[in-house]
Amino acid sequence: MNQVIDQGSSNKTETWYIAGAIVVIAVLALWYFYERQAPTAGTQPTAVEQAQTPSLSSGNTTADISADLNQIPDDSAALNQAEAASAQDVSGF
Amino acid sequence: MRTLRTIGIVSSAAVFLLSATIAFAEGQATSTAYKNQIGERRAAIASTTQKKIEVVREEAQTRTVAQREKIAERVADIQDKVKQQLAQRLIKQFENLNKIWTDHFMNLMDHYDAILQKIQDRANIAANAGKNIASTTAAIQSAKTAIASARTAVIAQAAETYTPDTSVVTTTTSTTMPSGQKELLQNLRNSFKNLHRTLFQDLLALRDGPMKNARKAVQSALQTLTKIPKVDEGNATTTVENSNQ
Repeated sequence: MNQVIDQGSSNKTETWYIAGAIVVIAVLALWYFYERQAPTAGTQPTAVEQAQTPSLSSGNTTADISADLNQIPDDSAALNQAEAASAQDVSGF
Repeated sequence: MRTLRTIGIVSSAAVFLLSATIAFAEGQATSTAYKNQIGERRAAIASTTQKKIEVVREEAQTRTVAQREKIAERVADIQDKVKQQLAQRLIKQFENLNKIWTDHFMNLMDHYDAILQKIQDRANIAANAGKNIASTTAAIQSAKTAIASARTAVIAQAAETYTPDTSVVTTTTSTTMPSGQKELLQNLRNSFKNLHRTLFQDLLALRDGPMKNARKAVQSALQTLTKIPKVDEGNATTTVENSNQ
């Protein structure tokens, strides 16, 4: 009787180990795939932080291209801010 | 028996999870390949233009070695250490600002160029489907010209130097005297103001001129593309062709 109970318990433990291993493998596989997809981030100049160019989309429909174009930030504010900051430094001299 | 059943269920789950991952990965493969092509082409163009910019910068640095040494001597004459450090920081700041913004503008040009390549790819798909792409081809050519002009302007801007003019940072009395110090600081202050004004005039002119023209030209090319009937039909991607840029 005790042997039957022990065997059942052993089977359950085994199942959990296998299930855990599968989940870990699946998560690692997904993680690996997403890491390969993710664009590599380079060093970004601080003065134009607000004007960084985004990465392009993977398609070339007119909607994709339009989105790519619209994602380019407007430089006006960033350059004006840089000008104001520099003017402040000069006036502080 | 129970163990076998458990192993069977777990194995099925494993196969399902792994196959779902593989299917997802394969589904993304085509668009990823196209994105990589565009990215590689953009990187190749960026590498070429970056080299050009580096060359003109080095030439500019060589050209102004003497001027920078002279101004460093003038700054060393400042007795107020805080003012001295601030002057040194401002001198570096002007050069750095020009570098940061010209790099940024060139990066934008690389981006526009990649977008233009996408427009060309989509136009090619439409042409293969028997559609008339004459207006798009003309607009793409105009955009290429605008981008080339902007690149030339950015390189010219990168060659500019913003070092204080030592001929105006002079003193009529010795800088060891209080009056000499006052005069030195005043002249440096004026020189920094002039440099600041010139630098931002140049950068703003670049932004509002050639840079804006390039963007408008790319937008115009896209507009002509959207006017082609059913232009988005057909393959989502095509092989990236080499442009004449």
